[in-house]
Amino acid sequence: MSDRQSPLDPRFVDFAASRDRSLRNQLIEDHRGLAYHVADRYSNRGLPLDDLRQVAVLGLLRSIERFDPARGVAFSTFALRTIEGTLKEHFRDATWTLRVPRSAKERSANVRIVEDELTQRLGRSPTVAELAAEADLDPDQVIEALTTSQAYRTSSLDPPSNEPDGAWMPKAPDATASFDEVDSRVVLAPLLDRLAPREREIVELHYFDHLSQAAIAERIGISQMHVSRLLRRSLLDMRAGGTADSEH
Amino acid sequence: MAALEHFSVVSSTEQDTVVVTLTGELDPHTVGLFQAAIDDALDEGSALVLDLADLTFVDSSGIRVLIATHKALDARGQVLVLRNVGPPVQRVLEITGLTDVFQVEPIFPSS
Amino acid sequence: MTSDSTTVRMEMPASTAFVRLARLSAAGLAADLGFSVEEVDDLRVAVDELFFYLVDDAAGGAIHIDFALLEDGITVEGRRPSSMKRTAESAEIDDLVREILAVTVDQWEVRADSEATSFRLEKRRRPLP
Repeated sequence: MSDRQSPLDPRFVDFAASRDRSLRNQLIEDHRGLAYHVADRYSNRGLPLDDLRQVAVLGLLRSIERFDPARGVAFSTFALRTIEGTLKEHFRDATWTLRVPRSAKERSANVRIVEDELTQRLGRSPTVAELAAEADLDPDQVIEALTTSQAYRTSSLDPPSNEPDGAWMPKAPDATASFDEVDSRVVLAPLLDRLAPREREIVELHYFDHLSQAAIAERIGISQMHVSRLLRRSLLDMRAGGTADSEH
Repeated sequence: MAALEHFSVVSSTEQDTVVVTLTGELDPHTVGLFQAAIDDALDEGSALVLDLADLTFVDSSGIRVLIATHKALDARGQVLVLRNVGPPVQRVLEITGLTDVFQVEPIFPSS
Repeated sequence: MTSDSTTVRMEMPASTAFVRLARLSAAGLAADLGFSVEEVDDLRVAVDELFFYLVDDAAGGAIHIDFALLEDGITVEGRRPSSMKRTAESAEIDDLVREILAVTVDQWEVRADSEATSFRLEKRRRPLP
């Protein structure tokens, strides 16, 4: 993919230093086409294209916030993967509840990651009991998590395989996620402000805390179908507001 | 019997590459679905990436399909790329000495 | 829970649809015995391979599995009474399966005669440092 490298847009360097919001919005505008392009590739898979595009723009936003020009990776490469990651997450969330008992996902998402961390720390594979204690779960839940889904995914921030190895630090996906949350939350605040409090909470839980619709339904005390509808409506509202409303 | 719900396979096309995403447990009961998806993907003639992030289990039946797929691609000068290989799958690949045969996109930088 | 050996016995249809149940049962029991996650993963694979060796979808019938819980490990024995002949395309223990079993368990064997097809495997828990 290195052949896709093009000269670095100096604005990314500026933005990395200044975190200037209007510059960021400009960058979003300039790359909106890329986000749509990726979203369009995921169309015809059962989810509304409008939503996919909105999710893709969220992914673009993430990638602009997190792009590090010093790493020598083309922004387009980086953004592509981040946007794809965000879309895939969206798809997984949308289809997951058809297959897996509710709340199994929340547990399983982290168990393999905790296993990795614990293996490093102990210098050996942990027992199920140790893993359960570390992950704050029952052993049965750990077994369920280990056998249900590992969700062991290179984060969308990871480099393409042909990037020079040394340029990247290993990342535990949950660690990057929390970093991501902080950043995106700041950026998205003005958009989220357009939403009613409950919808805002749902969007945050879904896209920042990565809770499934079922988990959100449980937490807020409404049906999953209702969560699904509210999420859709929120995305519509945010889109109407304009993700890139240039000066805010 | 809900066994098939424990496995799903989704193919998508990204530029010139077919990406086959496997979810759940790949075993003698579910391998047929995988084989079918692979057959379709090979017919396309494009590059093939298997995304295994949500694959929780694989045994020799799945490995056989991987080997056959590798051979089919190799015959036309292409490689089989495995993406997001998690611990249980990695383990079986290591046991069977296949980590060097497939192109595995690293999760952590190889050292 | 420190008796010398406790046996858990299961019977299930000799169909690939139930190989998952065999794996899950093995994983749950091994976890109770203090196996590490990697050992649990290994046991799942081994039980899967050997269970499949017994499966003969065409012939039907049932598979009996005994899990013997030991102080420091587990043995798993599977048996399918075979009044009918195995069909030709049944699972074989080929080199690939051998390779997997050699690494994932401490001992294993299979038998097939006129009365039954069976397997036995043994996996010890590595002592914690």
